[in-house]
Amino acid sequence: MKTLSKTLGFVVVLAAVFASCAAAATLAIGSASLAAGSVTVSSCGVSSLVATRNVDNSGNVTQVNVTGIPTACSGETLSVTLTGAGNASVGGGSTTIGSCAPTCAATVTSLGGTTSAANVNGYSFAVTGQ
Amino acid sequence: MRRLAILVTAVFAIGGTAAYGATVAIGSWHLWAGTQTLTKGTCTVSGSSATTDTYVDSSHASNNFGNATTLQVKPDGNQTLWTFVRFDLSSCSLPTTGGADSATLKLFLNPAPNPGRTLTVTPVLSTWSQTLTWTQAQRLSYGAATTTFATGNTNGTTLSIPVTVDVDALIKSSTASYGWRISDTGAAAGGDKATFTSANASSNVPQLVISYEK
Repeated sequence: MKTLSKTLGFVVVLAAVFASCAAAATLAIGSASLAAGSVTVSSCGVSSLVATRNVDNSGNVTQVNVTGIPTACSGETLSVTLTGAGNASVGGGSTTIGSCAPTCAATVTSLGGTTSAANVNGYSFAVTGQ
Repeated sequence: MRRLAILVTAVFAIGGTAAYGATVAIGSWHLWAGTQTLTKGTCTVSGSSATTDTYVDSSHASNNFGNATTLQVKPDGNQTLWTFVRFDLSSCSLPTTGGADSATLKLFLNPAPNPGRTLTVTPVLSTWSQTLTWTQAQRLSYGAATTTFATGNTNGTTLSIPVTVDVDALIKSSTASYGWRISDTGAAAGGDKATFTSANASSNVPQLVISYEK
């Protein structure tokens, strides 16, 4: 009987330990305390990008063409921001990088409004994917 | 004891499942960000050394008017006149990664048609020279019309004609610029001839003004 009691006590301790693990497993993804895990952030091989843009006869940007994207980025999202004075955004858009070889090119045609090319001093790029 | 063994096994199984769930990897993400800065500039091309211009006349199909001080445009009728103008952009030193923010063809109108006319600007896609004739002009290649513009009927007016899309394409393709044909596709009428000053004149010569990025 004494042996049985000790064994039952041991079982109760084991259950408590695994119950803690089970509680950790139910943490919400949005919880601020989610810090552990194995999320890896890296580039798909981009070292730099170069864009050109097309204009209409009034000098407004109609599309932005980005070249030299590594094939490993195929299927990921390219976001382009047109930047003006003070690096402020004057337009932009995004597109999914298609399959391609040996390198990819992507075109962003929906730029969120009319933007005069004269007001564009540069581009900001972001390539994101999983 | 047998029941106890079964109970211990069950607890391990349940607890083990929970522990496995807690260590599932969230995933692997790619992220890259960068910028590109553009350089802005302007370039004005004009003058007889950088400009080739002439007009052709259907009523004198074999004649050339490359040395004239005027450029003339007249609609279909007994006499059709087309003006041709092109510029050498090499002095602007633009790389093919650049592009035109704006490009404006400036022509000095004198005398003006009366009433004013609407003229059509069409890119020329094959080479031509100052000795171009009407007959030769029929064999040139042309693109789709770039734009149209109204002359008005005021003598001595500088007209600014937007040609941004053509110049932007020229810079990117690094191809030779064959310029534009200017024609009048409207109905013939009295006083329908438009006359511009050519690069052979002493003043008010044709200009191409480019604002670019590179």
